[in-house]
Amino acid sequence: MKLLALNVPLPPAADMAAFAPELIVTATAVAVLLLPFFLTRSRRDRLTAAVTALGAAAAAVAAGAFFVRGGSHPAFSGLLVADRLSSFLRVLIFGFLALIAVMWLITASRRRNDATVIDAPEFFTLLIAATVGMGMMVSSVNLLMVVVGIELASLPSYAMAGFQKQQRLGAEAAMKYVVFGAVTAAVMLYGVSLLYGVYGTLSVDRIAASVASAGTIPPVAVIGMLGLLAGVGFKISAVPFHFWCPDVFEGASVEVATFLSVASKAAGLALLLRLVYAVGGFAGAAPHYAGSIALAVGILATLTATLGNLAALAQDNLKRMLAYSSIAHAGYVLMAVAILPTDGQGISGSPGAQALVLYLLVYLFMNLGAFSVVALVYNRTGSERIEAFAGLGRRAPLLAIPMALFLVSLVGLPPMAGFAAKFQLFYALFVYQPISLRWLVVVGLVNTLISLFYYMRVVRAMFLQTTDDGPIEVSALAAGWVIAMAVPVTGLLVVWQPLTKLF
Amino acid sequence: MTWAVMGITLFVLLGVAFVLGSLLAGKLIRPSIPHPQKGEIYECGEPTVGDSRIQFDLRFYVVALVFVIFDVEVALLYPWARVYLQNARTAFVDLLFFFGVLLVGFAYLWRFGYLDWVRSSAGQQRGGQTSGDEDIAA
Repeated sequence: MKLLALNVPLPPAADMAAFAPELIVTATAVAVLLLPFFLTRSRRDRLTAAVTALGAAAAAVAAGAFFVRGGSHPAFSGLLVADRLSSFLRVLIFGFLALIAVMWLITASRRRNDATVIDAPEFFTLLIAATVGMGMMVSSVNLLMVVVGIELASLPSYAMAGFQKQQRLGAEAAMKYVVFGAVTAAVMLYGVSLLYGVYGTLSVDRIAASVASAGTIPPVAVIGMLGLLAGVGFKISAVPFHFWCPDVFEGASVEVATFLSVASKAAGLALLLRLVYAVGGFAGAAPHYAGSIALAVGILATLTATLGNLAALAQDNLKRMLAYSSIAHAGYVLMAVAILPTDGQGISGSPGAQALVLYLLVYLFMNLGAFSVVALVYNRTGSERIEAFAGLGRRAPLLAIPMALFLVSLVGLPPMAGFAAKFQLFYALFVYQPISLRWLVVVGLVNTLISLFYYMRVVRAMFLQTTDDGPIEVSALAAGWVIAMAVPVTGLLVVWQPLTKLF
Repeated sequence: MTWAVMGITLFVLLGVAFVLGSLLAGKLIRPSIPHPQKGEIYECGEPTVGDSRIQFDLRFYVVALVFVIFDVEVALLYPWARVYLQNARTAFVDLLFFFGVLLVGFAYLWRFGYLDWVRSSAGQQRGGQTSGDEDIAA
């Protein structure tokens, strides 16, 4: 009985408190699975979405409380960290989960025979599990947790991509997604094992310290880092790893595509920022490898943004077009990751992180709005193609006008919040980037110009084309939702200055 | 080269040499009398009927997945059992929590017919065209 007195402490209560958002959301997932035991079929679907929205909102508030309190709290023996970056991103991701649940109530729950409605508890359990994985991705400072987080975010996503079991496109999307994901996960694991072999630790900080003290990165470790990049690049659909993205967006239901386009990318980009900053950011004179890392990220960003925008030009399916658009936006945000901090101030308050956070915040609302309109038009017309939008300005002005605002914001034109996001990014690139990488600003501007064409094509179809089709009936709820999304897309520009100071 | 690496290398080399050596020895010693019956499946196998590349019932995957989940869960009990005595009460509560979450999933499967072979096929049809009508009826 003497043995029982030995005390191996639980993770301290402070650790649990720092990860209260994840615990709340996990509890929500269990609650969602228990709900159907007590409810009839006809009532359980909407209630499931409502419970998810409430749980996610509570988690976002908990993460927000930690963000306001500030500070950095390493938890669970250095596996995860709750700092300002992770807390802000968790507010973003869990808040987004709540918004997705509301969007589902407004769009998907009206569709007959939609698999996500028939099996709502299973769908929302998968959705919540993926979100928890994304929350772990933005908090992880240990390569083991990076892998676990990415897998936890990916596995439910595969199932969600193929959730419409009766549709061939959905099955094809899920198959491509899972095969591509399995290969990148294997490459990533191999890369992590190489890094462990070289540095004898999985802690990101300790690896960064070893790299800094050695002053150089051995070739084996470079291969390891590239392997890791493959895993993260898959989540953000950076260019050599982007092939799954258009097919999955086309095959999955609109709500799933929305979720993947924002949450998955935000989590992956924040994770990449943390990893790149750990190895590339430092006080004092910059060693030569920092320039190489920034250049590598810059090239990745250039490829991603350019290919995304060029491929989007040729798309007639709105979901496919928005998929390529989301690849392009991931490219823009990658440019922010290339702005390494050179004064050793770390992530918080660095110009790159500020630009990234602002961009993701604005991107969340404009993408959610644009996808919501696509879903609502699909509900009424059964089509996601650009022809379905012809004459929408007359047929459903309450959808068409906000949609035009979202698209203008996605381009990044002045009266919209997208302008603030892009301006902040290019400004940071121009001012804080070493001279050798200032050409990224030109790349960004040229890309913005290209993107103008395909976004405006939709606006043109909505307002300049005419059809004989009658008006589309829009419920007050749906119109209210779309307009509610348009408010931050216009309004965030007003609070631009405070938003950059926020972080 | 450290002792550990040398040991592993030696182990690998010996292993490969043993396999190749026994095959080579057999090749040299045994008489060669081929017969069609010797090409048949040996003792424990059945002669095959048809192609093995057929469409597989999806229900097998559901059962297999459920099995794997609980199989892995038992594997995860091992490290737990190793440290159990260090803090028995906490460890016990931890495990109840871990089990509880899994049991909710299990209860869901059981209650909604995923473990039932026949109802499971009815459940798959439920995902198709008939579901909307069912909802109206309910």
